[in-house]
Amino acid sequence: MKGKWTVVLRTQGKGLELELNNALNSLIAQTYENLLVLLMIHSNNEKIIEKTLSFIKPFQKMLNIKPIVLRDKQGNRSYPLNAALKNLDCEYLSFLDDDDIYYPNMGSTLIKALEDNDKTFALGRSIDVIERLETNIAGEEYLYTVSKAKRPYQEFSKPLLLLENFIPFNTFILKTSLLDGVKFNEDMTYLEDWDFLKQLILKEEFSFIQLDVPISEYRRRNDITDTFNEDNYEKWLKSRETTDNRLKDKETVIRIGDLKHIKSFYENEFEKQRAGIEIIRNNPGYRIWDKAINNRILKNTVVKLVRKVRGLLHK
Amino acid sequence: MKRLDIQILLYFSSNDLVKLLKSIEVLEKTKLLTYFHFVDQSEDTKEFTKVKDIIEQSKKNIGESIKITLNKQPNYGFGKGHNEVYRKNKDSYGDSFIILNPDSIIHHNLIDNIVKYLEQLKDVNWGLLELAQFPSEHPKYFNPQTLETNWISGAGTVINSKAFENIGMFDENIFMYGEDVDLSMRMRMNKYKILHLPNAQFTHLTKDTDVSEESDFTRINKQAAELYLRYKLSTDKDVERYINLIGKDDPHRKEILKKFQEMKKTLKKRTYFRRFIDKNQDYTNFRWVM
Repeated sequence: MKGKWTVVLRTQGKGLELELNNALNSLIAQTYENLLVLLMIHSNNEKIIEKTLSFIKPFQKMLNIKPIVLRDKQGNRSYPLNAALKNLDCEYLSFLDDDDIYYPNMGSTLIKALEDNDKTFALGRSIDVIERLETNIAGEEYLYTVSKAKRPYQEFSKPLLLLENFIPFNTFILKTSLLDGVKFNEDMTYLEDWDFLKQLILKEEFSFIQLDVPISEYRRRNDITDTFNEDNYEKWLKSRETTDNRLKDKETVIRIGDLKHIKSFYENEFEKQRAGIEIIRNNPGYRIWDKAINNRILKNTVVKLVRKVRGLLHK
Repeated sequence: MKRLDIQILLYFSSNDLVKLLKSIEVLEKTKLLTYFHFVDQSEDTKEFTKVKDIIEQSKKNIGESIKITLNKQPNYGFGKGHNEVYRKNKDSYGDSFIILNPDSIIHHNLIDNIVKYLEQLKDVNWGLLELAQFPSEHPKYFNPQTLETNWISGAGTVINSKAFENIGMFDENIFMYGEDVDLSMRMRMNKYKILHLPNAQFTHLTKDTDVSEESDFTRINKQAAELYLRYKLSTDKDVERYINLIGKDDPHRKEILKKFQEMKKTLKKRTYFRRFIDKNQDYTNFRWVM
């Protein structure tokens, strides 16, 4: 029997048919067999809890699912993850949010890589998917795939991970022996996954294997369900400060070779942003606004809006 | 509609069967009797016995609303194989039937979702309803509102029996690959609608998702079918254009052309379909490139 793999699946029970459904089906499809799903249901709404527990019943006939209901600390993204860490009894661990999916090879590929290479952390490649909500002829909602692309390959680099998070939460499996003394920071609103990764890589036992194999989909919706917007940008900055402070009194050795990865990462980011700005600039609407602002024809509100858009693009 | 029939062709598929059968075992009670017609085309006694054992074992756990049969037939390939199964069983079928690949996992609500669509579409002149593949959705165009698409994948599709017979069923000149495109084009030529059903999902454990990792068999058969379809439904110019796309140094060029010539020989009639290669409606017009 192969070592037990636990997938911590975090849900608030909101998108059952459209999201959790896919996450669970992607786990049923896994070719790795010794798998347990810790379903962390984080909600204090009894109706939602009841509905979620009932929803997973048919899946439990095909998949070993252990649901854990958490009613405290609503909105705290780290809390269910720490609760899961307290409930582990396995050799391998990974994380999945209910709006993302794994490919069937996720467990078998990464666990084999861990075993064959005697490492504690295995990383694969993710596919970026953008979806939008549609209604079909039967009047039912479904998620339409707008775009799908391989996430740019970023070679693993410890120093780069200390500066920027380039590892999606659903692209790695780790050995639980690496977890001693590690937990998610419950004071952070965002970036808790990055903060967790930083703790892991600073441990002596950390050793990694990276594979250029697509193993999961990182799905985003181009509607209001996308939680990152200008309103919560301040909270994001605060979380960033918290995790950066983790390194305040730490020392780490950076080799010359590592600087290459950091340089290429920022160059690529810059190129991406520049391409984004060019696309916006070529938009006929933007050109009309731009012209209008220069001629001072439009009212202040529009001018402010355009300035805001420009400001965001340059961030 | 009182029953639903699902045809599954097997070819050394015993390893795939375990998960598929498990998913059949846990299917929710459906509104209609569901028949799974497994037909082994391996022409191998050991493999057939293995499949039989797996299916017999599974039958013990299957509820009353599901029936499973297992038969064998020569290796006719995909299209002719399904035609044969259909011919043998059609008298007991309802208005439509399903073809499904063995490397599939049926989602617990699939049958009910199909039934919902069939009720919704009872006044629509549809020919083919494509099931949604998960996790790798078939990367082609469909209209997000009307759900109309240009062609279906034969990996999982509901077929309107009457339309199927009216257009002459699968083209038996094609051994494997491309027969689903051909069936779709002939359905469209005969004014039958082809729809994609996004809520009717099944898991398709595809092995050939990466084109660079395709086997020689797959590549040769796919490209020969590409040529054949152009010859059958388009112009000589298109055939020529496609032949030029196959590199002169391509190690499989000779075999691809030979296979194409063989298929061509048995074709009775060429029918030009204007929308076969259309800038916007082209069946190769993918929604994203990986």
